Amino acid sequence: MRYLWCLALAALGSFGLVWLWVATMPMAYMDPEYPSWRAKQVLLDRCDLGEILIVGDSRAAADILPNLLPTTATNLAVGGGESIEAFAVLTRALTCPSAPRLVIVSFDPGHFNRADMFWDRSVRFGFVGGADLTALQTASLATGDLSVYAGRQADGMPASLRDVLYTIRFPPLYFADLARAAGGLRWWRNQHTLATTLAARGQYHFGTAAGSDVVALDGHLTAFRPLPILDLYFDRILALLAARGIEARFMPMPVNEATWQQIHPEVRSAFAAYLASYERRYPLFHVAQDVTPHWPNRFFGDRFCHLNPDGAERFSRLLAQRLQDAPPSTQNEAQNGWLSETGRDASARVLPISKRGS
Amino acid sequence: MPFNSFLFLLGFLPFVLVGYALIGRLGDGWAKSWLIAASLLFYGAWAYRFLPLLAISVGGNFLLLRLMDRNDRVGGLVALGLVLNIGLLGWFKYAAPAMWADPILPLGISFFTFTQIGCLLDQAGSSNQPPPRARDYALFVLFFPALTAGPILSAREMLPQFARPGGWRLTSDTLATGATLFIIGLLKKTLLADPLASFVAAGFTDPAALSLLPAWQTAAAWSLQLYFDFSGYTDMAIGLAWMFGIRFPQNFDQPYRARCISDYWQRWHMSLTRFLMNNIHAPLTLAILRRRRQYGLPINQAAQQRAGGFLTMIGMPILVTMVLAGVWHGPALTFLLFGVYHAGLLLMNHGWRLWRAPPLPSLVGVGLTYLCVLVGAVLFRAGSVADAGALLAGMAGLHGFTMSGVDGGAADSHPAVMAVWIAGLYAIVWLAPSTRQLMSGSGFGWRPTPHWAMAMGCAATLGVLASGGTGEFVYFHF
Repeated sequence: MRYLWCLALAALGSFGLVWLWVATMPMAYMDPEYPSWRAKQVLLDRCDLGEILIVGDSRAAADILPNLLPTTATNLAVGGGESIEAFAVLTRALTCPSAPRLVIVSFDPGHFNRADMFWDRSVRFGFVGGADLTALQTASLATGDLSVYAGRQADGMPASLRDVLYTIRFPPLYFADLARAAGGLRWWRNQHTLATTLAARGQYHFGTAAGSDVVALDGHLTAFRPLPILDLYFDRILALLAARGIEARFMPMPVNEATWQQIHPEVRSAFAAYLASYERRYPLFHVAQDVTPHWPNRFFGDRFCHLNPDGAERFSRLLAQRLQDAPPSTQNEAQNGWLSETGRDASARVLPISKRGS
Repeated sequence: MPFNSFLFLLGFLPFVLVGYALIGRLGDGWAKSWLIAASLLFYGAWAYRFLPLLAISVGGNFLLLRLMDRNDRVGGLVALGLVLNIGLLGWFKYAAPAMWADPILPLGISFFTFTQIGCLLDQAGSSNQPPPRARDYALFVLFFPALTAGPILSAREMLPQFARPGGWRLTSDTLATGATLFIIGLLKKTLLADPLASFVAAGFTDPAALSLLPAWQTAAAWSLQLYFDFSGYTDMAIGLAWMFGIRFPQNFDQPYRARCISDYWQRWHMSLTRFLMNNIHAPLTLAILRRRRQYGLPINQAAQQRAGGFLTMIGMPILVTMVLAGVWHGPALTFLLFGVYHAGLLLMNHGWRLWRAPPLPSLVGVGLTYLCVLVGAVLFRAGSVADAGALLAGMAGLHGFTMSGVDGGAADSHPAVMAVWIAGLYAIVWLAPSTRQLMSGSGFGWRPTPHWAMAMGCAATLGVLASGGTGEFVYFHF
């Protein structure tokens, strides 16, 4: 019996110690992308957000450098982000004393079509919390679309139990990170990344190669069919912003030439039609004319069509210029197409704000 | 509910142990009933829709056993039992996949069916043995540690344990030994087998793209994943049974240390090998020998050394047995080829002995046997014969000699990291003591001391930690 007592005590004691470590020291072991997500949470917690918010997926996270924009902006887009994460972030951001004037929304078509790394990133990193998960469960049941909520069932756990385990940072869910960090050797690197991302106001790079001609997922999509749950949350984002009188602009991020040539025409047209339908419903929501802009391959840093540092800087300077020319609430049709190198660049026809009078 | 899932580790197992400890005080019958209920819960939590099938299978076989006891026409009843059991298995394993696109195989159907077939045959072979009591038989077939992936239990060995009149109590001795065995198995599964899974899957996704080194890495990683997965499962199943005072037969004995292929089959999935030997190979061999004798043909060693005799008396039973062993895994051509391939190896093995060729040095024997097993493992895992051929071609250098690796989707699946990892696993396979040796208590072996308790407690934590997101056992698919 003494053996069993010792065994149980050792098991409980060691498990408790690991749990304490997991709960209190995520920067020591978490995935290298975690500190970038953490930086966004810090900015949110501080309500240090500025006038422009960027929400969306990894391309938005990498491509838009808030520091180059003409006014204070914060990039709250995250890798693998879907409308669910964006809605959660905006809900939190709008509890801050000063609301943003403009929200830039950007998802590639694939992030409407399929669940990405919701559990592996958004939930595990604590970006989406218990209340968000409860709301997602309700919405998933209401829409009958469990593709995101019940998307990860390999562990055999009921989804509700899984929510609780993530909320309490149950150590086995973090074991892979612990093992790869040898327990805690990622502390210094993660702290550096946190500081860098905070300084960049939420922007962080993915690929940094000097070019990529790999066809990204967009080029392999055969149809654009938004998941009901992602569609619902996209609608919620726009409804939330409309209710607060905040302008929202959908800005698709560019893809490389190689991908653009492979994008199915039906995907392009269906994506544009989908966004246009929302543009009609929400007067403060505007969509760029070209929903699949494309840039030369040399501006891309990886196979997922993330802009490399040069590309991101170029894109952000262009964005800054256009925001200067047509700041929030002065959008007109002339802005359409400016994101595309090959699209109709109508910025010349935008009347600068200084010449518009009041 | 796999043994390595949170639900099992932190919910089901503690619940069943506590319930067993409490209900066991009421008497043996209560303890057995509790274990039957727990086993049904275990199965139902996983595959509730097949609970009626399981109940019909157990009830039907039990009914046959009772009829055999009261009836003189035992042979006819056994034949009926065989037809029904094999028919059921054949329907779900072979007919359903041919008729529907994505049929669901009832969990553990091979194992509970084989266990019951063995019981029918045992009962038929022993004239004076009374049939088991209903509760003992139900527990024998349903006992959750063996229900889903074996070991295949022999009625002759195991029924007396399930029918024993006393000892249905949780004791510290059995719990300590069982828990230790279980923890060792959990570590093998979660720390050694599962980390290889994504690398192996990536390699087998496009084997034609693999050059020499990645092809060998993929094959080696798969053979090691399979080894530690099954070894881990076996330790866990034996440990679980031990906790309740039941001793399961040995099912895994360092098969990659086998010196020849027949030695390998006596070490790998030993309960299946024994089932096939007792119920297919031996009866078939006896039938052939009787037939030859009937026709006045010689059956001695000299006759076996002649081509005709060899093929008839040795080749035929082995080929039939191994082909059945192969297709038992599923209705795929790769499994058929796996069976034929191993039959060929066994025939070479028998021929070598029969013609008294000099035995190979141990190291050469072990190395050669492992290489043969590795090739068979590729056939076993590949999605198609073409994929298996592509990987084997890569291993032969026909896809070039570049060092391009397998993209397993994680940084730790880098070829160099994998090479070190694989080398470490081979060291465990060939140098470390087996679980049985470790538990024997000799030398540095396990003893129920506080030091061992502390070590196993920390190991349990490690095993539970590593169980997050791990996969099913490979043999759950059969």
